[in-house]
Amino acid sequence: MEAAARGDRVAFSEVVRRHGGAVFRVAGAVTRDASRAEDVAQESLLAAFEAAGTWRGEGSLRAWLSTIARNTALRRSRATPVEETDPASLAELGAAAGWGQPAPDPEAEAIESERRDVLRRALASLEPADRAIIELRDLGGHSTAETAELLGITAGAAKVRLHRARLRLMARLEEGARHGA
Amino acid sequence: MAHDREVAGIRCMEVLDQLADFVDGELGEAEVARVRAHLEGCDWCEQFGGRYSGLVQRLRQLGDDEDGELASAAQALAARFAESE
Repeated sequence: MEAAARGDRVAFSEVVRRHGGAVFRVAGAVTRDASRAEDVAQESLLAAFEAAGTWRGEGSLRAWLSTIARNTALRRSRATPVEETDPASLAELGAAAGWGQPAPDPEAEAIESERRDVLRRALASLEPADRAIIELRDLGGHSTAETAELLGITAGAAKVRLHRARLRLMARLEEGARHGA
Repeated sequence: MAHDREVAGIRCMEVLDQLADFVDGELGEAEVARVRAHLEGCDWCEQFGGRYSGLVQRLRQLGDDEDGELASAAQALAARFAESE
């Protein structure tokens, strides 16, 4: 990063190679539009290069780049993070996900579990807010605190939202398994 | 109303509420012990907890698999960045 701060593009390209994937994922999650993720990621990385001199080496470089990606994504979409209301009760979400019901057919479950594309389709069918938090926390491996900061919500809200998003994903998978998807 | 009973001093609804923190390792020791005791005594919650935990593991694996694909995109971006003015 010191070399990047002196304008060394080749040095910064190594940073891009190592952390660009995380930037892509944050860009997609915050814009809630995978088709714009690449543009946002490119703009974020350029902004990070221009601001390389401001990075003091505190905390993780990935978290710093992720924050830049978040800010770029919000600026591009003119969106501000809002606390979203979610009226479904936990019991309702749990029931839809299969809580309190017999386990599904083990053979069907084994087939489903081997199919990564089934999981991807179920993820793609979620509401953007649910998909975004699962993208960041479960797929991207960001901590609760990082995820909360990237989405502009409290850590407590992030935990609740994540749990509810996972339950909705389980419900989609259960529904798909029942209909032979 | 879905299944909800008290086993080992904690209700199924409480376990459902704490399931994410339990699977993510964000519960304190005492709470982990309470949830575990409930799961050992409640088939419904044990089965559901297993499916929930299994889903989280599959999501993390999917993330690892996708990191490879994203790394390729980042690689291409890095090459363009290094070559540009």
